[in-house]
Amino acid sequence: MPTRLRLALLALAGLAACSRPEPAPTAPTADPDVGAPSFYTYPNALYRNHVEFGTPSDGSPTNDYVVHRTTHSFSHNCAEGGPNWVSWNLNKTHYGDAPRSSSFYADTGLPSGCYRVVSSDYTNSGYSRGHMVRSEERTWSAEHNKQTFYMTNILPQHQDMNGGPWYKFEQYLQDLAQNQNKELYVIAGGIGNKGTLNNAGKVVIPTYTWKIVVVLPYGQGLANVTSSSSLQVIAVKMPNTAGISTNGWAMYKTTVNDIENLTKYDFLARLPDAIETDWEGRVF
Amino acid sequence: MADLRARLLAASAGLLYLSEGESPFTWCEAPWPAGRAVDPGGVAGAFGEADYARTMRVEDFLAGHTTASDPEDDAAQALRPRYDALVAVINASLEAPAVYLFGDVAKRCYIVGLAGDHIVGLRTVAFET
Repeated sequence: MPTRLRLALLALAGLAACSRPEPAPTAPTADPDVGAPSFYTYPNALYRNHVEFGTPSDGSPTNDYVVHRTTHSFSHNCAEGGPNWVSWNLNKTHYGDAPRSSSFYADTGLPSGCYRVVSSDYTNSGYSRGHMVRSEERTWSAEHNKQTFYMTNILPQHQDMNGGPWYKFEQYLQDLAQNQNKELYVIAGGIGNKGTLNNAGKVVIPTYTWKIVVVLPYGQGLANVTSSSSLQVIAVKMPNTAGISTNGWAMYKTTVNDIENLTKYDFLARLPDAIETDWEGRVF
Repeated sequence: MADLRARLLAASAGLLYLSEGESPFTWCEAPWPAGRAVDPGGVAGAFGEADYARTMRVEDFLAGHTTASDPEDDAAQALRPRYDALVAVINASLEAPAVYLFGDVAKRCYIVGLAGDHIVGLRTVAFET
């Protein structure tokens, strides 16, 4: 559970983030090259508190190097070469026309003594460089997009999962944010150990990757949650295996309790206890 | 044509195009109507493609291996001169070279330009979710 001081700081951060006025959208950005559907590009990307519902905690600071960035927050596990969890806010203002980063990058923000995973660690491993915060979700600017290409935002995912049900769930969240005017608070990470990439002992391959999503109307946060009907919580846990590329995301729905039991992390701890207990036991 | 094919394959031998996954470079060629400028629709027709995604400059498509490669990644830096050379060979060998991408998650990428009455070059795959 967060300390009283941490709660106060988080509340202040949330207030500051939520106090900015919503900008008016610019004209739709046409893409004459593709003719694809166009979306509004907002004058500012409004990032609310990335850990609005609590910083996930497993009760031990060991192998939890927590970093807060403009675009997301994460806890890095130096022993496993990947994130324990990545947590981020997602809404319609985060999408734009910024180009996709050309490359993946080692995260030089990690402390000395912590191995900085590089893209080449994944090469010829049979596993994809799987984004936690999706590239498309940070396209308001090139710099914001680049933050999703730091290797601290990446876990090894079999391409059948990364390009299959994981991708379909990402598209579902994009639809919620852009077309259904929702405010999302997302947490994602991995569970288990299938060995390491190229047997090099640097990057652990998770057995599953999971995602927990709190869904609220656009502009809302913890302060707006007064009952279980104020929000929805979706949790998924997908196996990191071949042969699932054509599967939909919904067959991997689970409970937050299931993910908590497997990861040993406490999620959504800032929700009022009754609401937390209710939603963490439900399958959406 | 055989010389051109050998030149491009030699320049790309053993190299991979890295995205979320990685894919080798393979040769591709198709007849091209005389006098027609290269355009996405023509490339799609020549190679039996659909679901056009976008067109990129060769330099931008390979920037992740060259100008934008990670300075912290020693293996990537060791290979950078070969990717620089690949860009140079493509630009020197083909008329109006560009990269045409088709598809959604596993995008088929044609690094192609004109050579006489054919459109030729290298094909690879970019995994983007």
